[in-house]
Amino acid sequence: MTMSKLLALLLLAAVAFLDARPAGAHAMLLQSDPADGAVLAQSPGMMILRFDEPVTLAKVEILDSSGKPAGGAITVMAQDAELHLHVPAVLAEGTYLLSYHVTSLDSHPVGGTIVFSIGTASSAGIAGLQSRLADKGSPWPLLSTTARLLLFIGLVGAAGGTMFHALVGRDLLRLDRETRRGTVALALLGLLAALAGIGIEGAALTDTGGAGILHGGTWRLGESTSLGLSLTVAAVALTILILALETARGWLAALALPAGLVALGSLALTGHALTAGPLWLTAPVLAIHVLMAAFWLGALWPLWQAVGRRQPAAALDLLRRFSVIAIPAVALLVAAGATLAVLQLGRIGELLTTAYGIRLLCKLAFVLLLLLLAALNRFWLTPALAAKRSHATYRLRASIGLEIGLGIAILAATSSLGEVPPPRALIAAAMAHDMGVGAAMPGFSVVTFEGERGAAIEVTPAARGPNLITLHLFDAEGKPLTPQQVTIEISQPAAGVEAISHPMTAAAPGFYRWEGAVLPLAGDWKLRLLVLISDFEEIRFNTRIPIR
Amino acid sequence: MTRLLSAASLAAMLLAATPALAHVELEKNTAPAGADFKLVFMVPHGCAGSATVALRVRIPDGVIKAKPMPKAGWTLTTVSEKLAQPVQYYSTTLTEDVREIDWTDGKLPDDYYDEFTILAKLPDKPGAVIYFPVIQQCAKGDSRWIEIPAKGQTGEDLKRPAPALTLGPKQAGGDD
Amino acid sequence: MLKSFLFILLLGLAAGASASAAAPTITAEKAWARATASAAATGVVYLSLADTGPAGDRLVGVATPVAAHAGMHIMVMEGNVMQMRPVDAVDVKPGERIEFKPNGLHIMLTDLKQKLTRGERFPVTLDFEKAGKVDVEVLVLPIGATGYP
Repeated sequence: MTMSKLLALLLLAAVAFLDARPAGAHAMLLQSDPADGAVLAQSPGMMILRFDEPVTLAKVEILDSSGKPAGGAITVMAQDAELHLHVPAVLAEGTYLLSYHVTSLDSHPVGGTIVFSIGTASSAGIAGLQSRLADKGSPWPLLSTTARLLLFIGLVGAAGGTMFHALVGRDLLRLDRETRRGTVALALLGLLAALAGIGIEGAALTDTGGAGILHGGTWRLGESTSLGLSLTVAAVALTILILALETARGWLAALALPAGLVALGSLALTGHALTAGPLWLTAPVLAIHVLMAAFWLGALWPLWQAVGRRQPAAALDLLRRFSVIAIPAVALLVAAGATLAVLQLGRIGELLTTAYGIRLLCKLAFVLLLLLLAALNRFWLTPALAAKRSHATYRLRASIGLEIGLGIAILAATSSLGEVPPPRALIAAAMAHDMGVGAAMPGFSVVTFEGERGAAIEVTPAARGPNLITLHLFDAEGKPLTPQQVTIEISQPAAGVEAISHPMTAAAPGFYRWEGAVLPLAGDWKLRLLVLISDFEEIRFNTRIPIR
Repeated sequence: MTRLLSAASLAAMLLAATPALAHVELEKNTAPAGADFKLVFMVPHGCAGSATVALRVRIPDGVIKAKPMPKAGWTLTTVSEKLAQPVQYYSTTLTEDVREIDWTDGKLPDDYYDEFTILAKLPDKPGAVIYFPVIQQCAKGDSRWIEIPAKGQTGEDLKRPAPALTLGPKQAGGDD
Repeated sequence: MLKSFLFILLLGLAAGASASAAAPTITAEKAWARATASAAATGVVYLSLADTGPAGDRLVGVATPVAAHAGMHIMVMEGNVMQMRPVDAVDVKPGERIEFKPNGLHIMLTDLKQKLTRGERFPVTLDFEKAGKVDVEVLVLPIGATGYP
């Protein structure tokens, strides 16, 4: 085992265990209805989970205080960054736990629990549930990082190597047996890691025990995520690459380079970077970053081989041709990487204060070392070889070997970045927490008064289709009103939509909600509240709400 | 041709002149301010075809000493409340007065018509409009005639307006 | 003679028309904020709004140079829990007076650029649908203040 490989393994181990606790949360839950710890007057027919980005539900269940499932067969409706959970069964008084597992756009599993009570909160019930909530420490995040690292190594080695042979070595169709075998082996490694990754993602999402990965359902679930899609594309492309390399002749062989590029491109189908900033910017930037990185790192092993085995003249020729392409490629790589980092970090200070920032700093440190080594090669060691100095071959080879080690370390750091929420997500969640409100929540809220009494009306998400309308009615001192009856009328006279009338049910004194109010058209809707204060007194609130 | 037109317009006017009675309202909706007045509430129909079984009338502030006319077959109840401010009624000071009058346990089928009468002293505010919120309880459901128009709205805009009484100038020659 | 009379009349009408168009019917007054211990805290502003015009208006936004973010919120009761909800718009009906006061409507200032010191004043810009931007001067009261003096 050479020095550089041992070093790389040590670095990998260090980075992977930097934060041993399974870090979750990429999509972050900004708010829930009922809120965590809420005490409700009656069974919630619908619950809402608001995240900071659109999510897909993997699993949700409601457990009662003895741990038994409750609520019946819960159906879920996804709307932008919200999940609306319809709870068909009426929950009796007591304390319950809503446990959810979702997958965010960057294909990360996110889970959480919300404790709520109906009637009166039972401290015994809550304590019992909280002990159940204690982190069990699942193995999936580490397995996921490992699979991702092996995939990166396979992709960079095989696809990046193919790029090198096609563009620099120009010997893609004339590879010697060792090179071909090695490249195919790397592609096979990537292929197996990609396939395993699909199952691991499914298992992580449902948080099953070890045996869960054997279930077909787990794999189907993993396949249905955006990560699953990208891994499938990578696996297919790598398979074609393997076949193309093995054939080395005819039309199939010509597919090697395109297959390699597609395999690399699959990495741009998922991940954090896609959810930061506008897609038209992040997707191409990420693709460029990946391609340039693969080209640079993928060239290291062929160059190491060349310096060791070939005549110096041939090796030098290769090195020269490599640096001609490498210099602009590295420049593009750094520029793309910097753009992505800026989009992910909220403030420069984040580099030191967040887990994401620290891992990014590690990666940057390795990249800097790699650049220094590359400069060393270019300006000292290669000319030394050309000048036929003693030990030049050995030194250059060792340097490239060290570069390979650093490359693996960089890939390890990159794969560990995927497990940790990027700061912009943390900022959004922190702001939401501080303010006690959903910072990025869609919806519209208006406060309107009628004499001394007021109504705070919220329509979520204030878009065409089904909406949740909540009302808070209060008197001059801000205390909740307790009218006999509240009816809401919504209409859009401009579009000829006549008033839809609906009696509102009180979830708590002065607090009313209507789940599933369907507003079929965009535009300004008139909203009227008919509030029967007493037998003989009715007050009416009139306002309007814009619907997108 | 012109004869046909004038006949048609005459017919239209005649039809328009007798509006169908749709609301619970006062037979006479204007009265002199400050007078002892007979308020007659007309009930032209039930609630969506269902027979009326009770009528509850809220006496607004300013209307004092309301007395209902009993109706055979109906139970009559008056509800008194303490007044926020004592009111002068001729030589006595009232601290409590009737604020609600209920006719209950009756049956007025939808096909029939009836009137419910209250005698009361009206406030001395010429030009004011006072509203008597009424709840019509039926065998099936209720009709609440309690909507009071907001500033700038007329009673015509409302679906279930409260019976309204407009006070005119005081009449000479007191009543006792 | 007639010509000059008509001319003066026209001028007068024009002046009157422009004056009524320019005269804002929204009044914002008695604006006060609580002093903060540091610039890291959040600030809160209360005030009194009224519309004397015939049509009413709607407050849709707030901004201030002393904080990076300003937003309207309201405190509401949900059972035993008091919650703070964000507010996108506040209707001001004609002839109505709306009070932003503790435990009710308020303007929350986050990311303060400076600490709010008792006695100082700073501007807040209220953005109305019809009246446009209306400035109001806010007086900073002691931390425990409960209302405009």
